[in-house]
Amino acid sequence: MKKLKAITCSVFLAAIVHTLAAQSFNFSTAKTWAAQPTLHKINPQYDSFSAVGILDERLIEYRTEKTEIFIYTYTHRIAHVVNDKGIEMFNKIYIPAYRNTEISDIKARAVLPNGKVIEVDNSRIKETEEDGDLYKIFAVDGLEKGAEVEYTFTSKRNLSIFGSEVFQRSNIPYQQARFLLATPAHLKFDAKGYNGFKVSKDSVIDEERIIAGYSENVGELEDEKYAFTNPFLQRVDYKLSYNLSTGEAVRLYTWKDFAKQAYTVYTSRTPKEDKALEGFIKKINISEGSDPLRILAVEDYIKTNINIDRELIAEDADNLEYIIKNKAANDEGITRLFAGVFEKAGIQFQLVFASDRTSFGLDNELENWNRASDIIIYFPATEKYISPLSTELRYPYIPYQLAATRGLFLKGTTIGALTTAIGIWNTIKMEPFEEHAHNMESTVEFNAGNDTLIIKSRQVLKGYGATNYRPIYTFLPKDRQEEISKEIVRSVAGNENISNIEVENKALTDYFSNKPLVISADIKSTELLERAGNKILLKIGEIIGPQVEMYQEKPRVLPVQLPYPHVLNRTIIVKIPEGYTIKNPGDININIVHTENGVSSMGFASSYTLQGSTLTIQVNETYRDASYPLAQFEDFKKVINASADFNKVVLVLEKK
Amino acid sequence: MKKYFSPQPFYFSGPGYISAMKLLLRRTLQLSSLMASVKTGCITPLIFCCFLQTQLHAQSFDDIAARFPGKYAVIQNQEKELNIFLQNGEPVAESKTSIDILILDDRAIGIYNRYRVYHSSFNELKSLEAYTLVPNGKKINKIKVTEFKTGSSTSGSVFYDDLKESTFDFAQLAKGVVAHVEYTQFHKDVHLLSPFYCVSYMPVAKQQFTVKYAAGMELKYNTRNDNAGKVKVSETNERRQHILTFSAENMLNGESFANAPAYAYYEPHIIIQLASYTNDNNEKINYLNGLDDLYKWNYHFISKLDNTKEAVLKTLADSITHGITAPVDKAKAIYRWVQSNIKYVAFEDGLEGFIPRRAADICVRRYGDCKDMSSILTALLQLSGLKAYFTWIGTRDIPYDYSEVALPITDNHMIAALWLNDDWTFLDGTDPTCIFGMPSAFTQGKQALIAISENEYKIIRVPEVEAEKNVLTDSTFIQVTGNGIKGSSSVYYNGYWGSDVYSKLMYSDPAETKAYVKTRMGKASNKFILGDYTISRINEKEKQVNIKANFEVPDYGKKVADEFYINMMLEKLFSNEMIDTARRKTGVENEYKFLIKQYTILEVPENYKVGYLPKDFSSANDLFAFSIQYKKQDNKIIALQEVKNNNLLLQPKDFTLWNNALRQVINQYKEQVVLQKSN
Repeated sequence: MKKLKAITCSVFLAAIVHTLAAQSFNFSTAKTWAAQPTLHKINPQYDSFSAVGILDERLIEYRTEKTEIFIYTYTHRIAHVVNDKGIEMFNKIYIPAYRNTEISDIKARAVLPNGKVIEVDNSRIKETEEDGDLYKIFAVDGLEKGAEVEYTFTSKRNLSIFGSEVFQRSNIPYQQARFLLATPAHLKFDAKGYNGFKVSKDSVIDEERIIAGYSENVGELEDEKYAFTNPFLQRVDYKLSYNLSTGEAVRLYTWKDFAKQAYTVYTSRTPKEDKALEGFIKKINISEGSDPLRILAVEDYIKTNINIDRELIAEDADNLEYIIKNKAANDEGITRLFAGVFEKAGIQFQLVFASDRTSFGLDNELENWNRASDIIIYFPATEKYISPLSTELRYPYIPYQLAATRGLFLKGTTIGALTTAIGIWNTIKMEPFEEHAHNMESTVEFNAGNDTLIIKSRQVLKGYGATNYRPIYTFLPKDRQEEISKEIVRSVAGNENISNIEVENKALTDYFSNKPLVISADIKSTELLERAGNKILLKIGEIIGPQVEMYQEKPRVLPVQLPYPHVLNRTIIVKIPEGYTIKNPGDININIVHTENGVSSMGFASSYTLQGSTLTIQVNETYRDASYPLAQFEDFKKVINASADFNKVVLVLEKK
Repeated sequence: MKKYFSPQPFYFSGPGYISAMKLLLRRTLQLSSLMASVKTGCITPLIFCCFLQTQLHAQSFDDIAARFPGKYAVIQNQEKELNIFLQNGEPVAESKTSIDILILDDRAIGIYNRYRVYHSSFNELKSLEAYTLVPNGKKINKIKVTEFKTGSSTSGSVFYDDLKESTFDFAQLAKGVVAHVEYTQFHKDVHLLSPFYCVSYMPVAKQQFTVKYAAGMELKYNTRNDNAGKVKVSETNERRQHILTFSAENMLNGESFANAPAYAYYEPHIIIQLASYTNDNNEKINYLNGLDDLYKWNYHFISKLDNTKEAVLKTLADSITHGITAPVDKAKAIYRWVQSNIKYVAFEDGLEGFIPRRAADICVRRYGDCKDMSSILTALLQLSGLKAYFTWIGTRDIPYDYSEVALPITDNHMIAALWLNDDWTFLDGTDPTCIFGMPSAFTQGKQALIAISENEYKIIRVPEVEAEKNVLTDSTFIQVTGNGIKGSSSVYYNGYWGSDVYSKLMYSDPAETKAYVKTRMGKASNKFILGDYTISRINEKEKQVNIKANFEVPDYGKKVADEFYINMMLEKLFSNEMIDTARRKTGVENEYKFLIKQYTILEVPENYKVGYLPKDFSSANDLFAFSIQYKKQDNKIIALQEVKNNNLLLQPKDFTLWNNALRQVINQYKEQVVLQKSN
């Protein structure tokens, strides 16, 4: 049934392409392949790159053929290869050939430093598939340092109302990028440039309506620690907004329209589907009682019994009859199943299209429906969510990327006999920071010979803090579970001698009341001890495990973004062996806190108390927010480094 | 072997929010399902293993579940029947495979639904059927798989090949359900039959591999790694056919380990080889009876190349060797030229996977795979008057010697062999920073099959390069500062160490180079702050390189009252390398043998004297050696750590020896030097 997909067609996230002679808007639709290619000059700021993109040009034309409209995209790229790595980057070319896309007119050549041109023989172009995507692939002959690779191709695909072209990469810069959208004059598109990509207003030229765009010196945007790069990439999104031939100035394909259509796709059912659904619901033990528990029962039953796979190999994987019969569903199907069950069980819900915080996200100004692909379900009664696709999560947890962000909420409404939805933008709240914890409790004693530590360790993980480990105890076989538990414990004191491993609250349903996942064990460790003559050095800082450091960073470009806000509270109790004293307990004290409007928004604080021979160390680390502006990066770095510094705390024990 | 943090926990993130854990599992399964097949890299395209038609055995669920506690699914029954027969006078084969997967736990849902069958032009998929059997009271419901997807199957470093995978999802998996798949394949070239692996990605309760072949055929088999004697063999005759039957029960799933050799080294498998057959004229034809036959088969891929005739090649060879007279120097110049100018790009489509391209074409394209590199090297060397030959070899991923397994599965790579000064030199064009005179690290110790002429070949073992040729010498000078240490390091890299550094630098831009220098030079703690550095390529041909760097490490060392404690083992080289002997069943591979010498020279600050120097330590055997020495010289303390790794594959039998030695080393790593204020 795939209704929604049929409407929105496939996302064309162009991978690789480029433009000529920018500087200003260029409205020409002419192709720019030179008969006599020459080498290009590299801007001095790029001379340390392995390869430099000269041009990335993408001319998109909506062309009417008979009664149908097709989209032709002319892609043209030039890259200058500087060194061996640059050659390796460009001697193999992949041209994506997405579903229902025809690739034609591939031309490719190498222009050597001596001016010689070597054309790629089209008979050697192959077709292959990687991760389900088709590619035309070929190798470029004759490449050497200082040469340029130039290639172009045209793709033809079915009409799509939405599109996006991403022009920025993580590895190399492009000196010129050019975008052009040409449509029949009666089709009026909106286009928006992001992160500095310039886009013109449309102009009608020779019966075509043209939008031009460009950018220059599009730098490489590297990945940074604690950052999500995609939202910051230069790109253009576009969509059809008016069909002037109808004579009506009605804006088309708005989010309102989307909400209505999506609501129908996910909540309407055939009578046969309804029948299958009723049979299915009988098997779920939806008790009476409070809503949240009933939601959990539905969620747990479906996720435990249905094979949920976005890539399921079945055309009918969104049909409820098929799903219930085969116990298998794709993303659309599983959402329809949840919607159906909740409706029949009388549990109020709203479907929400979430704007992925780590990716391009949804823009309420430019309605690119293709980006609305992440669905979660909202329960107004409790103001909490579930994620139909995430088999490893349970109420109220959804993938962190989809929380602390905005979403389009589909609020169902009945007008006369018609049931439909209105779309409302709202914030998808994340569970508060104190719910997400990586806590630790350890007691440390010495053996009689003072050469081994006997540690009782408990790692207490809550909320998103448990998401890395909790699925292990459901999805991996027992022997692997034990092995991995041991690895987890080993991060405390890196030791082979581990016993009495216990894991509590390992069920996925324990997210419901946020019972902590507790991994505890007894460890005999020699790792944390060193000797200096007759003194004992206790490397107590290492007991919190290796910490991320940011001691020597490149200049920071992006703001700080964390998967989720969280706390790390550790209590370490050390029994000092008889006859010994600690010479430097003061080394434990670290206090780096950043306050914002009188509240500590992030910080690392460690301190101790000494009572008799018992040393109690408290380490509290807090990240209250999921993101921090670039201006606060230095403070963030200090907090991160404070915990890495704590790692280096060594206590010196001396005989009294 | 550089320092690593202890293994990072699983970190699930990324754009696909389908259970990342399940995705991860699926990926793992996909990899391990390759075990059922042998994918030999570059020469032999591939060969796939399969299995045959099955009856559902009414083995009780409880019985099987009890045998495999904690498992979510097992292969209850696996059968493969291989029929070898003559078609148009040539041996061909068909195989039928049938697998029943019994689901033991509902948790298998989402993990074991997806199934993949691999095939290629040499192992064509003729039929494929799958269904799920779901118990329903006294009945059993059969739910057929109706949708299959066939696509390319990507494979590592190869740019293009014709390997395909057909994929589908089993429906209705749940405890007690049986998922069944069966398929037939046509093997158009019996040279390329793959071994039958007796383990799979889940345990196998029962399996049977049957080989049927005509009476006039002679077949050899070889069961490997069946140390426990679990594989039973029987031989029968049926009308005009011989039948070989291999069976096994209760085989645990295959396991993978870090730095482990390939599965073929330790998982049980059966190699089948057609030695000869009787043709229509009743003549006995040798097929793959031994090395002569294998050589004949290999040779026919290069026999028609006529590889040196183009004038352009002669001109190129002359220009590369212009002004050089000594043969060895000519050879070095040619090897260097190919390493620098021909990039590795592999197209392996059908026969393209076997036949080297002509040298003249490679010369224009500037890229090629191993066969192509072998082709252009051989041609250029020959045109310079040198004795160079096409050579097949198996990389260290393959455990077999030609002398024991004379089959195409024994090699997966081509190089050139050069006869010079009464000795063989092996030239691997695919390794751009390999040193002339040293083999590529991944071919050490392997047998090479050298093509002298149509009727003459040689089997020569490639040497293992001794540790003393791969030396890393580090001299680090440190001084105590107000809050830690600062100093400078100078590190010389020789042999394979040097190749590694050259290779890394070759593919790094300035920013990456800086990051690389920091990892190479980093020591003492992760608070190592890299200062200025210089990289000197001392000898391009021998790949000798030196890196010098200034650095600071705040918070390293401990000042308390009148004393200063410092651990002078700035790099605890093997402290994370203890082997879990209870779990690990495979050896530990080393890329090469090596020697590390690390001098750390501490300047004793004024007003301080040495309060305590740790004792010296050494531990040595044939496989590895460690030693640590401290000495005081004037106002300096010199610590020397020497580590020798003298093996390419540490065998499980030597694990205890290794662990015991390492325990002692780790204990020595705990010793700190104490400096005291002298007043």
